[in-house]
Amino acid sequence: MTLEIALQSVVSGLMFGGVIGLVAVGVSLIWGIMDLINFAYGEYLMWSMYLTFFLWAGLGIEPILTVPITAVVLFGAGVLTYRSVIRPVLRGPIFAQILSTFGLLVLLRYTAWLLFRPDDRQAQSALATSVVVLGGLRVSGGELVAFAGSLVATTALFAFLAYTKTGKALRALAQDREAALALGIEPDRLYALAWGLSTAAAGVAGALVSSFMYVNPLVGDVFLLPAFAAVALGGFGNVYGAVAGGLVIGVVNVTGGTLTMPKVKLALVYLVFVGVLFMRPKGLWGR
Amino acid sequence: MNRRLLVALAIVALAVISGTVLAQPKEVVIGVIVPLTGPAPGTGQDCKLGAEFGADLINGGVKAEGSGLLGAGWNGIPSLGGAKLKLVFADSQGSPEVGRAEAERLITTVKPSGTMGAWHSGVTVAIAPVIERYRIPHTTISTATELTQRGFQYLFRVGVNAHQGGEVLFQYLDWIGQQGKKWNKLGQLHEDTAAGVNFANAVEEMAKARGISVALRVPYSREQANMDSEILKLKSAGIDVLVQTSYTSDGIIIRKTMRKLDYAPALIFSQGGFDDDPKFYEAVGDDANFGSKRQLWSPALSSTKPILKAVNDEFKRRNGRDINDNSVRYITMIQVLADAMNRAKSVESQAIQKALVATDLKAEQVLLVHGVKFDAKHDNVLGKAMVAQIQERQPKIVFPPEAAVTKPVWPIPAWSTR
Repeated sequence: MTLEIALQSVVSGLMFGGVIGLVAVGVSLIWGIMDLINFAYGEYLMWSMYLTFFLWAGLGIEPILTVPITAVVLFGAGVLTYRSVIRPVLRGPIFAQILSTFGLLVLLRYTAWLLFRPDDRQAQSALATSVVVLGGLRVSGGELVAFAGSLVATTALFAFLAYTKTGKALRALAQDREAALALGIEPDRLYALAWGLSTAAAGVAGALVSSFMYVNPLVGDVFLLPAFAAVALGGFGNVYGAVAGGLVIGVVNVTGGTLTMPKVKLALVYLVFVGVLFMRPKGLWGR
Repeated sequence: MNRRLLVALAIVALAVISGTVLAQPKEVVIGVIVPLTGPAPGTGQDCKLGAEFGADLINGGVKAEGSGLLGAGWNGIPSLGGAKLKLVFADSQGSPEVGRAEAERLITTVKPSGTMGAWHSGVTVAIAPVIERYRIPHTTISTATELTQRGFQYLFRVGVNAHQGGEVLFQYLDWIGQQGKKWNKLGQLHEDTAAGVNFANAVEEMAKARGISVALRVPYSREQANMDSEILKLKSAGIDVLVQTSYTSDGIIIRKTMRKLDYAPALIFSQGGFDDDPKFYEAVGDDANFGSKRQLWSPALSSTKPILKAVNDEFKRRNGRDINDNSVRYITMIQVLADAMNRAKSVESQAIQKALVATDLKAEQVLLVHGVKFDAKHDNVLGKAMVAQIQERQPKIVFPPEAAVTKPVWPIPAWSTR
């Protein structure tokens, strides 16, 4: 194992981790604000990937350029989901909430299965096949753009939460719901917004990964499971921690797999996950 | 009862009995289980086109008289009064569970006289007990060794098994060595279901028997977005003869990752799979070039089988694509079942099974490079393969020399020069 190979594996891991981080951010946002895990999150990602694929196949739009479209459409889907499915169960027991997002998972996954069949489909992108070489380290154009897009999207979300009035209200709601209500913050609209933002992140991630990843009705799991690990690693509800968690997961996955055996890379991811939870139950950056 | 009535009754009875004995079925149903959707839809489509073409050959729709091919000049199954083959397809979706359910549904609803499939070894492993339970004569081309080790009476492997498919790799490496070309380390990269694991085991056994050590074996699971660590591992170990078993989507990610990480071994050898699927070529374009694969058919074998080109031309006219390893094997499986039914003079499953056991088709009678004759376990003792290298996005036979249409490019050129 040369140093070059090890360094390459770290770079590859960071690229992969950037995307996992973006998926994790969406999960983390809902968790942080509503104390709710959205098990169907991977399915929104999958639907976004299908949207990108059909925009490419039907209209010839380069996958990366579908980002604004998938973001807007998935934002709408998130708001709709909140209003139709989530709001009615918010007052119910925690099991009702968990089961409702699980039900959504089944509905979204098998609707896609019914409509699109389980075929693997992939948009062809010149960007994905281009290779960028920097100081002997190599990344594909598709990954680099996905990584950069991930960072931009997360930074934008960060800025929104930190500096806008609505963002601050969202954070207030996350910190103390009762106090926020006392201050006149209306939770319903903000919850809808949070759902929209969260699924819009899935929309962005779906378009970004489509240039180098195929889509089928089960593809959500491929990204969601590592993303859950990233959320737990970064601290539940901590949006910035989720990105950092994603990067750690990416590096553990690729570098760990390269240094040991690739077959055990997911086991390594979950080993780190369990280890961190054992030592810091709130996650690395949890408060 | 008066005498006249007795005679009349006897005549009616005779008519009924002879009617049941002599009535010939107008058509014979064959169930075909293939992955029409799922991770290998391009592959399933090729299998379907092959089966349909084969059935049309038997039914008299493909003109190939005088070719010596089994079924040429037939107009349905001759001994069954010209009964036509009717195919009913079932979609395995590439999943063992779905495949098993579909096999059961097919057998119980359309009551086929024979079945074939399911392409994916993992799916065939799952459906084999079902067809055995219902005693349906079944032909397959799945390579997993274990399929014929379990004593199934109704399962027949028409294609090569993992060992026969791997054998040609070592013959090729010997020949390459005789040409003065060098290589150092043999490694394996394979998906971790039946096809990948069985082939990797077979290659490992055969290598060991020849005193060659497998320097590295990298199994992987198909459902993942990133294969960098797999390729980096092979690259850092200096593997320059790579044996790869992949299905289409993972095959695409692997080839793209090879380019990205600048990993070009001297030889990539596969047992088919991703590199038989048109979708692989659509996705990776010229990056598909220079990979090598086990090949079971070539229209360029025309010096020994002049009819092959004409048959391929007809196939291409109908389907817009050449016959490939998948379509050719499904054509052959139809021929094998039709031949057995013809000799059995029956559509009764035990009779067909018996006839299948006695199958003896010469290579000249089928489109495959090898004939069909089963051993006690129902493996095809005549199974053998050639080596094709993908050049200009087409498989071109490079080994054995007597069948070769071009010289192999060895080693595979570095990515920086492509």
